[in-house]
Amino acid sequence: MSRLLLAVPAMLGVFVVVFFVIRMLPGDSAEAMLGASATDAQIETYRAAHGLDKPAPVQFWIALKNLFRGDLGDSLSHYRPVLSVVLERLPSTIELAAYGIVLGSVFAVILGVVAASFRGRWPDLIITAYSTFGMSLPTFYIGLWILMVFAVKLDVIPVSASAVEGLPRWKTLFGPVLTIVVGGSLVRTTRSAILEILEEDFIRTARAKGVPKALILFRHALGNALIPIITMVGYGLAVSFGGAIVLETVFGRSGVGKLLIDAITVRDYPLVQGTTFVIALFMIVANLLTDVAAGFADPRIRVAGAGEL
Amino acid sequence: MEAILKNKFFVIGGGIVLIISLLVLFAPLLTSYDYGAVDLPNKQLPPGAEHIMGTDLYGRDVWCRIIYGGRVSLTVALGSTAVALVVGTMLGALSGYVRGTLDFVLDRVNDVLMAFPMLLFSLVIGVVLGSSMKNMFLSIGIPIIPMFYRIARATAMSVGGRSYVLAARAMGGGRMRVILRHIIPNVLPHTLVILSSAIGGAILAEASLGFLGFGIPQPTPSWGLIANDGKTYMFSHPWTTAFAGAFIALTILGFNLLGDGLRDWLDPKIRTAAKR
Repeated sequence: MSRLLLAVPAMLGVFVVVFFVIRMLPGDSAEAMLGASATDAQIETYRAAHGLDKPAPVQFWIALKNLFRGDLGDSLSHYRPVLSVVLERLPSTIELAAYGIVLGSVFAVILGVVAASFRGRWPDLIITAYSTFGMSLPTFYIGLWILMVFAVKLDVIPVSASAVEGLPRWKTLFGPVLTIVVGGSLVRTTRSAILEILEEDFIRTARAKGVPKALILFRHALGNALIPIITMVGYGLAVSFGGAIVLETVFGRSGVGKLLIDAITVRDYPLVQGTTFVIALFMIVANLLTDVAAGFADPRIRVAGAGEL
Repeated sequence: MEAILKNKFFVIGGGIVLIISLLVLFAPLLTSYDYGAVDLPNKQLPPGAEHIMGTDLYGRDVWCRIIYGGRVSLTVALGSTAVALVVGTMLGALSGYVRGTLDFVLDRVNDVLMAFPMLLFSLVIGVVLGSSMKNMFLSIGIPIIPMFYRIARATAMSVGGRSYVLAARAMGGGRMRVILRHIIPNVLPHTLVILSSAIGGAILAEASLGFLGFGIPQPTPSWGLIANDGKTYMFSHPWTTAFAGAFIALTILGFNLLGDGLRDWLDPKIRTAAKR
């Protein structure tokens, strides 16, 4: 609960940061909107009409009031409210992140459990080496090679997902999701979480009682290793959202990441501001859900106060 | 010192980092080309005797650009990590030792910083500041601050109540003095553990920004920008991007392994666990 309360100042803080950071940009949206040929009088009129001539704190107050009305301003390049542009693109990114996390976690948990149960022997060494190496590969690099293999050589997916109409869903998701899964950043966490649990007394007790090894691994160890894994999944969500910027660029998906890059390129500052804000909000909510999920997985945390996680 | 040289991760990671650093440092001795010299008749050559890693879309020698580009990428990575290390550690130590309102406020600020995906944050800061080396230190450094802040804060909290710290306070040591003399020295070993992987993360961030086209302006090559140069022709002439990406990945691997080695060595709990 305390965690929930702390999320509110975080959300406001995010808004403050985004608002003032964008205000620090050279030239305001009047110049960007009207172009270099605009006269001073035209710029003054635009500023007055959009409240840009008022002092920054007043502008902030107006923006804050508009925020609570769900108004994030108008996009300069899309000629409609920022919020509707962002919301239109959001599902695509959420879809990508969700598939990436679910499949990536399943993959990681399987490899992590295998590695932990063969600790120090060759399956463990191979899996650990793989994940160490995978974590060092930039997302765009993995993505480009996946495109190279599956789009250019094998021709099962298109080089750019948005360039082809009426594509089956799995074809647009295949590349980016595979990139997230192959990255394997969760494998090491699962492995070390399970190894740590295997040192606990109750595991020794279970072994002494003669509980089968597989049952110990999946029921006793994996069950208790859920907390660090859930925390990592939450972190993975953050990575996926950040990674979406790169993935959507590489695979030509039109989600919020690509939207942000395009907005920056055409200097559509209200859209940059809105996109950044919505992504950050999403992250805060995701972190909250992670904490709540951790509390469900382990009642001990709920009692001790979830804030300390 | 002997113990750490027995650590495989440390030795392999350190070796990779050392080799790459030497390549980058002695770049002028290792190539006879100029990294900016355009040679259009010889553009997009595959690797061969003349150009061991081929040439890019302007006929520039890729090997030459990569070893010179490493200077930019590594400088950006070290500079931005240094920014994060200094700011994060100081604020974290202050927050964890002083506690109270200051801690509450700084911790909320930290929450806000952590709400932005790192790459997104770097992008937006980069757009605001404009692209230059100094600004890259900030745009990549600021998003890494929470990594150091959190560790410094946690350590300062646990060290803050120890008797020698209380003694220093009782003898009239001011807050700043206690923090600088007693808290920071205790915090540093813990930050050292993440320092190496933070540098790896910074290299990754620079590469991703460069790849997206938001790096230091041309013609200064950085690994990210070299990868970006080759992007358009990746599928017909993959060499430029392939080699640049491989260097990025290898360097990050080196720093990550180095970090793992250092952690094993410095953290006795993990060290004994690994031996078993």
